[in-house]
Amino acid sequence: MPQNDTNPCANFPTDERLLPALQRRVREAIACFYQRNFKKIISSLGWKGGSRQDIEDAIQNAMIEFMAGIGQRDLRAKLDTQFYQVAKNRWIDITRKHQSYDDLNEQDSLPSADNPLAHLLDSEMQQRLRKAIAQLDPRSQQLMDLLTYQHYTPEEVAAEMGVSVDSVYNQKTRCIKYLRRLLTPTQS
Amino acid sequence: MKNFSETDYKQMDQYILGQLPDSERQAFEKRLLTEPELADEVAWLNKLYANYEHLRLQDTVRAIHQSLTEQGALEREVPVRPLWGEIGRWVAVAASVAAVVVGGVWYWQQRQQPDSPSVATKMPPVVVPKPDAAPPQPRPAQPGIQDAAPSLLALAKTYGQQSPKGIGEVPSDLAGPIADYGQGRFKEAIAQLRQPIGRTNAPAPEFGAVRDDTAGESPSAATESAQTTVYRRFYLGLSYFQNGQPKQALTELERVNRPPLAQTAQWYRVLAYLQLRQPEAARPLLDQIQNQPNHPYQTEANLVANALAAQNQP
Repeated sequence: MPQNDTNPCANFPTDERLLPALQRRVREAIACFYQRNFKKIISSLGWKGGSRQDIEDAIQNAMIEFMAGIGQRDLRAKLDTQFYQVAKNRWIDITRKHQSYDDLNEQDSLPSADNPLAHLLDSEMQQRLRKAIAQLDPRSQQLMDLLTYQHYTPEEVAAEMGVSVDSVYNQKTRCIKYLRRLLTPTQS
Repeated sequence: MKNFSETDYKQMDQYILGQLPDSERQAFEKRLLTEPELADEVAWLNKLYANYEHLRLQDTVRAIHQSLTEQGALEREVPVRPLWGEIGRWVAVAASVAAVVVGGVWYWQQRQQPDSPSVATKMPPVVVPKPDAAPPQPRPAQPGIQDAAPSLLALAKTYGQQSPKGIGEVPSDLAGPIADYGQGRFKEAIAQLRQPIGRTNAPAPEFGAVRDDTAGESPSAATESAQTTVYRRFYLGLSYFQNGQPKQALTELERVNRPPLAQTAQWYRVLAYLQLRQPEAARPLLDQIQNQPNHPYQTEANLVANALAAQNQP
């Protein structure tokens, strides 16, 4: 039996086992899913003429997008099939983008990605948010990660961190206010 | 900005997550209509959560990709073949078929000649190809170039994803394009960085005019400081690199020869050469980096040099 560190899929033999772990953003599950699909997609899309770098970009972007919507996914279709479709779309985006660069036609607008996150992202906020998160103390980072990234309920966070549910809400409010202060542009 | 209470935030969270009971949700939505500050705060929270999640996903996926790459777990089983590779494959197949046919005829002749020379003399002459006209065989790949090409790209990509080190304090007037760079909007960053700061709104040349990439670079036209110019070229080079334009990246990065950026630019030139699949051009730079004890990319240079050496092993 291979060890988990060399075979991240050892604990996720079926989609039924994998999906809940992906929804909880278990790193081992993400690594398993990424690794097993990476090779398939490289093989499938590679021979159609894309460069390795294009396909790697497409797969990484697809993985981020796929994981962002993992809470709404179900098992009516195989997870690999669902992911392949996302990756293929991202690969087409990248290919189109290159074509647009090759044309050097600055007037051409790039086709907008149908990434559900695309409209939410704000470059300035992302830059500042990264810095602001780094300024949170480790325990606050853990709390924000559990609530916002891993989608734990406050009750689960309380159990995980050994505090009361009220304390979770209290600490989260403090974190949000702190981030709000750091991320609000100062009026000059 | 209104100072919302913990209860407000709790309710906002529950609303965003769809956890408010119907009656409370309706009451909360009425408040949203009458309290613009509350509506703003809910919108801001939504944005915060989405961006937080995206950042963490981005970091996680990139870290996993890098870790698996370092373990060799992402090495492909079926090679990525660009178009020329497909053609080469069919040439190789055709050559193999031709070799089998010619070999078969030759073998048949050899079997026939000793036993029944009379039959052989009745056979039409078989054209046996001269050695120098042998059917084309797949040309052995040039060591370190064709075979290594995808791995070189992978190396360039893996190291290129890291944030540049040792860059000191970036001039504030470059914040916009650098933010675009940080967000992966390389085309937008390039558009802004190609001209000195303050000239980015210059009118576009008329249709049919000769494209001049150095427009605005004359000392009289440039109003930016020398320090800003160095940073601008540095990030322009990086943006070209990230955008898959290594030649343009090299042109810019070769001009970045002042501290604190010179050493970092040297490293990105290595990556650009890897992206160009020219490891031979990268090697002298790697040697230089390896020989500078305080170079911020000495460790990476050692790793890449070792990887290149391993690829050239027979």
